[in-house]
Amino acid sequence: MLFPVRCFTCGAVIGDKWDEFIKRVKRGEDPGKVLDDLGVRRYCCRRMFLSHVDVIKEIAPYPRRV
Amino acid sequence: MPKQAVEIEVKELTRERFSGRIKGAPLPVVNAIRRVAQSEVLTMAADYIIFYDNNTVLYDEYIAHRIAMIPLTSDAALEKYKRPEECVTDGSRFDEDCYATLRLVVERPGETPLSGLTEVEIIYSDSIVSEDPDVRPVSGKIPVAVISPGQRIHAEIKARLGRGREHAKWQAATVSVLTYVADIRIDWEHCDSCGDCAAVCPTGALKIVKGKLKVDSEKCNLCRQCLRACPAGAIRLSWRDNEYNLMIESSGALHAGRILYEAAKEVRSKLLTLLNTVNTLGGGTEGSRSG
Repeated sequence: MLFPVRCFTCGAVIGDKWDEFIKRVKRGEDPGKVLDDLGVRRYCCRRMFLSHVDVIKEIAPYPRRV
Repeated sequence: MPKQAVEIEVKELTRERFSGRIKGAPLPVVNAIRRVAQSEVLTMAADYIIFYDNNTVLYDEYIAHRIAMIPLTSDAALEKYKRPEECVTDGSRFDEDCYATLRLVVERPGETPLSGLTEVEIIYSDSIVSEDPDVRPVSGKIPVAVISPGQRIHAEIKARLGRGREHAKWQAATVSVLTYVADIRIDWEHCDSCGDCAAVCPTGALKIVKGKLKVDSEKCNLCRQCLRACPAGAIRLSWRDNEYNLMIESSGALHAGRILYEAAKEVRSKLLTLLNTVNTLGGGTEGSRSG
């Protein structure tokens, strides 16, 4: 789904860093270096970025009945 | 015990992070401050979210949960709003002294396609508009929901002060760590700088520089690998008394320095409450004087 607002383990706010992270990684930058730049230091927060799959765009075309 | 001056050597102090060394305060006191920074310091967070409309693919609960996890600026709110003990609501009436009101109202024109790929738009936290300029999302770039053409979200958010021990969304300090300060002593009569300790040291506190052992206690994390590795038994490892490293990382709701201050204040007020209780039991000198 959407990228989590906070790290599941430590609670640090990470939601605001996803867009820049994925933009730069798609441009070919090294994910580790991008995370260093964004100030994501702990590995609990780092795995949030590395393991996230943005499936929201795939479920969005199927609206629920309201 | 004679009174000791407490010294704080600040290494880093930004809104996001306090890092420093506290000298002269005993471990239980510094540790109490560390714990209170996480569980007791008040911040603002969304408590009730009323959905008037939401026909997007995401359920109300999903969006509500995301909104609740967004830290709200609380520096000025601490003086403005009542403490959680004084705020009771059944969810139908919200006292203005207790609750700040924020709104998320977004709409995309057009018609919702019944199937097939639609381009979705992500709604960010900057769409959340607050009636109180002192209470607003700390960042405008947190994704909150998605919206397709023809869909709308209309939600009213009621935020109040709360404590981390009630729910993690109120945690002022997300990370709060206390560490000992290492004290490495080398018995130079027995040390021949063989380098066995430096080879196992994971932090680089022990290093061989130009054939001689160099010690940097600051880097040591007290893992004791060197004690086992040293063939001459020339290393003694302990920690300094009443000297601790404290690191507080803020959720963004409060300045990290403010969290430290509020935590210390909270510990003090807890101790005073205890002291008063003991006093009323007749345990203190003040009690016997008045009684």
